[in-house]
Amino acid sequence: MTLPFGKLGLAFVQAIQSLPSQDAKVAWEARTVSSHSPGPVMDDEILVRCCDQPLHLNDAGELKPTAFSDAEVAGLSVNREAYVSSDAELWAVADSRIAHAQPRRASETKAFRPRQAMALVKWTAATVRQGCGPGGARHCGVYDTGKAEDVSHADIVALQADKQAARDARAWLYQQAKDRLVPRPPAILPAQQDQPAR
Amino acid sequence: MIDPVSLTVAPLLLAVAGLRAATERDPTPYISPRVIVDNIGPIKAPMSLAKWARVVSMTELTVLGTERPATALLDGIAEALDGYAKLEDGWDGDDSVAPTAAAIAAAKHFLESLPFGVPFPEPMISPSGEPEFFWNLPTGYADARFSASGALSLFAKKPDGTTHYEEVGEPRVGAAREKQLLLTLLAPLQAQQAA
Repeated sequence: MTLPFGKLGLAFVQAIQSLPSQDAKVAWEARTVSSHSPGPVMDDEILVRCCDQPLHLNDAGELKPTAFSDAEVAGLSVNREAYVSSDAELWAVADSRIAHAQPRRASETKAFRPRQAMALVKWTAATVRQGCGPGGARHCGVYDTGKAEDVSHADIVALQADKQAARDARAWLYQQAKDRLVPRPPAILPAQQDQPAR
Repeated sequence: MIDPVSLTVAPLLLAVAGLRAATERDPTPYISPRVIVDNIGPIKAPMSLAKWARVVSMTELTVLGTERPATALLDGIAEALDGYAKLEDGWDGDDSVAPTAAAIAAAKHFLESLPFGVPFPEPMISPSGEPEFFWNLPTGYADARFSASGALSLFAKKPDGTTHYEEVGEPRVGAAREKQLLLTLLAPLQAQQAA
């Protein structure tokens, strides 16, 4: 059984957030959301977020909360470590995604360094699911939004639509992630692109 | 053969030199919080000193002496905002959008109107094109977001997990309904003195 909408991203997040109760939102975590998914995301699975936007890191290479803003509106893309062979494959998937996007978005390099897979953040799904706001409402859900080209894809979604709760969810994700950043090993950096630093 | 006078005087000289080395002040400069507070005065210009005073009070000594001057920090943040203004739609994926001029202007106004004693925030920008500032301090977390129209929303979270959110009519902390709460979180020293 899959959710009744074909397009993931914004529509998916809105559909989850508009479900009438937290129980209903959480219940979807136990079901398969995408026909490309290998199955629902289990609590003990490791989720990997690839950081590829230099603007979401400060000069010291530390994360900023905006690295997790997608959870509020469009779903924060992560990969399920159990369905990728290695970190090297994760880097390759990220590089491929960015290379596909760059030609269409060449203008983004006018003022800033281009996107580049720079670091990974890893948490267990249980860690992401355990955050709660005042009153015990869950911050985030994890859904198995596998894609044809990337079956390991999943989304972290802020479960509450109201602005305060969504900001709280983002702040919570940031707090959980900021000390878990794993920089990309220099040995597997992609070819240097001819773009000056900011 | 060593004469008896040298045998007596040499150890004494060595002891004096050793004592001097042991009691000599560490050459690393340190800043007295008292001196800093005295120097701050009620004016806004030396914001870096205000920050140093707060930092000393929180015993976060690692940044002392390596901090750039306040004007350079402020310029750096303003430069980052100017950089955000050059972004175009799609800068962070297909659904990302560029910030509006109104949002950037509001962020700059907010930055320039930060109350005395509040540490400089770190700038950031969300994929939805909203410039933001955030503070992650031992006293709590806060962020300020500027919408496409320039409207400010403030979010704050205390270490005990309680949160505050409000949308503010003007892009400055002073216009916030819960200004005191925010000052308590961001500038505890100043909030204590004001209370």
